[in-house]
Amino acid sequence: MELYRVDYTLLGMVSPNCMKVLPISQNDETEKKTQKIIVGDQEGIVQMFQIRKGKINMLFKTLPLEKITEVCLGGALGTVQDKIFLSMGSSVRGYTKKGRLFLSFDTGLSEPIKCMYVTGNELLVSGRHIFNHFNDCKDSNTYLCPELINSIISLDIVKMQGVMPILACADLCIRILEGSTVKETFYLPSEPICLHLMKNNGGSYGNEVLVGLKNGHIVLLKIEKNASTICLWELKTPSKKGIITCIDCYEFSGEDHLLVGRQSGSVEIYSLDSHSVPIEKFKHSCSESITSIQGGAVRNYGIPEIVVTTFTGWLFGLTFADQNIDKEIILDSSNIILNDEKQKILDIRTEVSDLERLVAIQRNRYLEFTQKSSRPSVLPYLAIKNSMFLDTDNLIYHLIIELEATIDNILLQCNCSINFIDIENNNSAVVSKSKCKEEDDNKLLITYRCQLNTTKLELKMWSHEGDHGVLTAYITPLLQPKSCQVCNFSIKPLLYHQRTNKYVTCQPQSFLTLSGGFSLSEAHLWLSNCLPGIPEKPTAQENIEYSFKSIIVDTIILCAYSRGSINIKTDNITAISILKDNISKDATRKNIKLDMSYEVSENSLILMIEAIVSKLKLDIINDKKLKLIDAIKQLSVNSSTAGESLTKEYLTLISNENELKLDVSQRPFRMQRLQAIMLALFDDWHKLKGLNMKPNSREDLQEALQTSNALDSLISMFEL
Amino acid sequence: MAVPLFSLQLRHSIIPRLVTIGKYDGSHYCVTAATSENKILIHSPHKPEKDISYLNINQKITALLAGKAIPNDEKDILVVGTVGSVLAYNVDLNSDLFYKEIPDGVAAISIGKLSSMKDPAIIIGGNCSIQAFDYKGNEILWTVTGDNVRSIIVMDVDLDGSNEILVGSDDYEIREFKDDIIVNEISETSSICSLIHFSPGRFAYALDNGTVGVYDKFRRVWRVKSKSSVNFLEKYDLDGDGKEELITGWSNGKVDARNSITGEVIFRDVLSTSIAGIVVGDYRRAGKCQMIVISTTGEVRGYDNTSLKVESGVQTNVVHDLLQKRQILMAELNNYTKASHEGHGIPGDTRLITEVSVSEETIDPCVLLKLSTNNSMILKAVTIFAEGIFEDETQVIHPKRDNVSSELNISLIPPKDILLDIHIRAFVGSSVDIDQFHVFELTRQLPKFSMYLLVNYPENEDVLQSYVKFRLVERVQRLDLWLSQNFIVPQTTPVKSDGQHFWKIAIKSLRDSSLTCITFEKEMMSIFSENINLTADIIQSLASYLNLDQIDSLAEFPKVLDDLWRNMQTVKTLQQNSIKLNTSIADSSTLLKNLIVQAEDFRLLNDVFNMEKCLNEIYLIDKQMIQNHQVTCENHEQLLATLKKINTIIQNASRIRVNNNKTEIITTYRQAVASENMTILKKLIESGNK
Repeated sequence: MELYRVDYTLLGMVSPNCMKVLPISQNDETEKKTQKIIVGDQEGIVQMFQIRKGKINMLFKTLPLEKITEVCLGGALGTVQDKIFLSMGSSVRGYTKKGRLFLSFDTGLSEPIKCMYVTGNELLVSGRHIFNHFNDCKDSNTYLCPELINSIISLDIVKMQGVMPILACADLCIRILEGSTVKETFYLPSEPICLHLMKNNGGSYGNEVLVGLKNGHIVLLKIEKNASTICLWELKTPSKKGIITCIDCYEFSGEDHLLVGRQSGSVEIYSLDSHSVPIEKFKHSCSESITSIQGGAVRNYGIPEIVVTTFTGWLFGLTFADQNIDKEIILDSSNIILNDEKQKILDIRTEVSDLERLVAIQRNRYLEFTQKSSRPSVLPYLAIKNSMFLDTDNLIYHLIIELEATIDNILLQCNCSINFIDIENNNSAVVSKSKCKEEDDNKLLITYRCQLNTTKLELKMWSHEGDHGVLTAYITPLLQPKSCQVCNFSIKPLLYHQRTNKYVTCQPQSFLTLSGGFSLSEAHLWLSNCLPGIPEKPTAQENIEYSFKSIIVDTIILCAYSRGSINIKTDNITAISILKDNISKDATRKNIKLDMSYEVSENSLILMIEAIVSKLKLDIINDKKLKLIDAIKQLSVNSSTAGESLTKEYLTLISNENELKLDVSQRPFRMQRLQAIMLALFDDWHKLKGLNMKPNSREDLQEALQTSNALDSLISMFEL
Repeated sequence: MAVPLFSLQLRHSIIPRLVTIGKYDGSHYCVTAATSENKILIHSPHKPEKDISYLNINQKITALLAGKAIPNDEKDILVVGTVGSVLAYNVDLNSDLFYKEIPDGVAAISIGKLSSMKDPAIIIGGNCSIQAFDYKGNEILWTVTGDNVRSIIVMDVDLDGSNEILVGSDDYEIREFKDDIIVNEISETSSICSLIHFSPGRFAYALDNGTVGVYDKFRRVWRVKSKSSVNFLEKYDLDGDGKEELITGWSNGKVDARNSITGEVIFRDVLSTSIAGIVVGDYRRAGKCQMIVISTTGEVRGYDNTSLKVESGVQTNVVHDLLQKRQILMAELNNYTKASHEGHGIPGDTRLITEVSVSEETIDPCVLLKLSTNNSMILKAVTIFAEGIFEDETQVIHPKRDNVSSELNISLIPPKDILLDIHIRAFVGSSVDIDQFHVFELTRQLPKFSMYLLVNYPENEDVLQSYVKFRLVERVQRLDLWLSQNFIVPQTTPVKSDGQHFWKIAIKSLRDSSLTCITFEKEMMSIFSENINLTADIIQSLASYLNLDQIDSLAEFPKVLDDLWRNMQTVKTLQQNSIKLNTSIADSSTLLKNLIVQAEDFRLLNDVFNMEKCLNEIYLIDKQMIQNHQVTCENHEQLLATLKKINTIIQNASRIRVNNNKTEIITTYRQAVASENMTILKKLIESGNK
């Protein structure tokens, strides 16, 4: 079912989770007032307003300060949670709902606060790596997390009889703290992005947490007092729906609902229950990424509504037009709204024309400046949100570029070859590939000319593992004076590996050992140049271990390094070759001598070939089937006679055509990629073993990779 | 999403564009489409017991249209065009009206009344040619046009009360023919794949590169470009306001309806596969027509004004737009007020300097665009947007990090002699590694003949054998002006002139480095060139610049005549080949049939040895037939190419003169080609009449 959108206003840039709907107070309840909305923006302005007759009615507004990174509601336990807490820089400020500042507290954190959670007297804050817990503004616990912290929360302190902080970390796990130490690490299938208490209070026992993951799934975790954690359910959605950016729970029409906002701009509303996987009830999609989502009766008293903010600052409401609300109220109010809207439009019109005048003056002044002055001109930077993340279902990368202003065009340049997959539905930009000249060292030059009112561009791409370089995006907004901003994305050689949890059962049988006079941070840098998902700085340990899994061939890489030595264990022979080449290149650049030893075992080779063949076989058979279906369909004159002349096998083939096509489209180009991986394996095996290839053997292999029957005997083509 | 009124499945894959609708019995609408098996499918919803019937067409179907062509008859007839023929078919009576071999192929069909005729005509467009027939199959018109015809419509563009033919072709031109004279031409940026008329005097067009737009007479009202390509255009009054909207069916499965005056989208829907066609007809016997959309997989959906979602109000959009406008203005204001004068910016008075020249020194001779800044600021990258000269619409120049400087040379090679707008966007900054660059945008125009280098007039005039001469009374200065507008003229012009009586230039083509000399002496203009196409272009350009409506020229093109003769001979041999190949295919297929029967006999007799022998033979013949088929295809391709060459020569020969009875000449040319009368052809080229 669909939702109906009403635009309220366009705020400035607002960070994620910086818009909250205040719970309704007793007073307002009796006066039948609507709920208030509080927003803290990136200029540092806090404003609270109410929607009256469709118009914004400002209740209070502060002066600009520092960028607000998070807004939380709190208050004494047991009372209405209407105290407003916000984090900016390294300090936390508190406001009452009247706009009076009652708290200004410097946490003394060495990093700016990224996440904050307030409950009762407890204040939890974290930067990128440091977590701090304050009780009544007194420092009580600190923890330095080796990985990036994405979100923090605490379970219900009354029901759990104490503070139990939970950290969502970038290494695919949540860490449950007790005091200043980790009590439990619970691994998840994908990176956790946001945490939210079940039904806003943790459920009936106060110990249930909703976790939004990077792959778009949502899990409900139940955490006992001894920190043992179980997963109650996992809501699986197609990966193309996108990263979860915000979660809220909202009760209306007597039922609990889960509100979800995503980076793709999709808003979904599910029915919510601890015991069963949520069922989607409503959805809406807008063109920008969602930054916060809340539920409340903000426009009309007693009528539930979903309030949403987006990246560029749109604040809009979503109403359920087909809900069983009193029809008359809607009719009545829509009449009023029509008149009020007129006034609202007039107001904005005058504002816009004032602005136009102002801009014209400034434009002339700037023009004059460009005529005469030779002083440099530097334009202010626009906020860009870009992310490049791996879609493990489809084995491709998503590149999302979102801009504060409307995009005019984007130029992508890369020095290694990347394939872009055209996606029709997510963007309507006109693509134009340009020829690359050899001498300019470009492998990719693409321009995207965006249609009007585009602020976000989403692209899908894939490359062959081993290729590496830098993808540069020149983003030109539709703004005068014209300028462009540059974003770089590194294309790492082992891009299709993903961090995985440390408990890996099988032991890989090939290894690469490097030793020499290098420091820990150098080793860290070299590895992070090759593999994705490694934190910026090494942890303060002497021995660091990371493990990775290839999402294409499912092999594991175990990396362990310390000062002066790097140990890599894997069955992926190509990965050994890539790591060896890249690390030695990096070391040579720094004039560091490396001692290198490696061993590639036959068992690893067999394992690799088996892994590739099992997948390749499926792809080749599917490919053949599709070709066959096309041919058979040419034969059939009409459906009635076709049934007589075709065997059952072919008939089922035709009837399954759509599913097959869908299945194949899930993994774009996997067949070609697997064939390339096999060829790379062939080359690397001979290179690392120091063996000469038999003449024509590479060509034979290439041919064998085209048909499914030859795959079983592939191993014989390798020199052992 | 819109709610379709009805939907059904045809269970056939439909070829894009080949969809039409007709009232074959005079009252009931039937959707008609070409399937991928080269059959024509007629869907008659009013006959529930047998709603789908087929017509077998053994050749590849390339065009399909239903319409009223028989005078005083309400019944529609169906016209089917294939790669080599046209068939007019009366579906109701199940009889052929006429069948004609069309060696040029049929790429587009239109039915309508032409200006001078009372009865509707069937107009077909093919390989550079346009033909019109009456319903009995009598040819009433034949003419040539610049390139392969892609779309034809009959409409009254200039509102003079009689219809003209509009032809969209592969050479990016939309031409208006009045009877058989070209009266107007519009240059577009890609092949024109679809045209549809709106009343009065307005028509919509679609291009291969995904552009859709509307012209009012010959003024473009609006256009939009999308990244997917257009498969079908139709008009239908979807919102019930009495004005028809432009309905576009896209290759990505989208259907949208746009206001024909503003281009604003009022309706959108998406089908799972590419749209094959959109037709308008009363499919539910509701008394009014619906819009019927057919996808390539045979999905059919019908819409009418009830499908439009009632939006809660225009106001919401107004508020949205206003707020957005406010945000853009604020951002711009922010740009001015917060612009600082510290850091890695560029000096305020930085300018981008462009210089266009023609260069022979580069590896491939080309038009050289030289960009530079007036100070030390560097050009990190440059994008050039121009339609019709690159593979896609944009060319990017992004030099290697070490080679970035304040100067950049860009070579452009326009494939055709047309006037080009080039939009340059340069990323200018103070150093290579900064993360903000200023963007300079400017537009330059490349003249029509930019791929020609002005060279010094050859001293020893070994006069070329091919030439065109005509009388011209004009001042030399005007010729100079014409030159500077149509060519890239270097600063020191190599024009040989005394400023009054004689004026001589020599131009060298960068494409084949052939030399063309243009001399004007004693009121006589002479163009010496081997290239008849270029000569014709120059004459047409001169004529339009100097407002000449009559140029009677004398011409001599021995090589072109030779070419024509050779091509005519090739056509002959190719046609003979084709007949031979066809008989051999027929022979093989009878042989095959016999062998299959034989093999089956042996199988029943359990004679495995002989059966195997038969099957082996079948395999061999089969292989041979595939080979034969390939040869036939190649042969056909060659035939088409040669026919196109002949048509182009005739077209160019007629364009070396300017007058009003071009068509007569074209008709004479055609007769001469048909009868292989070289003397007449020679005379025609030389003087323009028999």
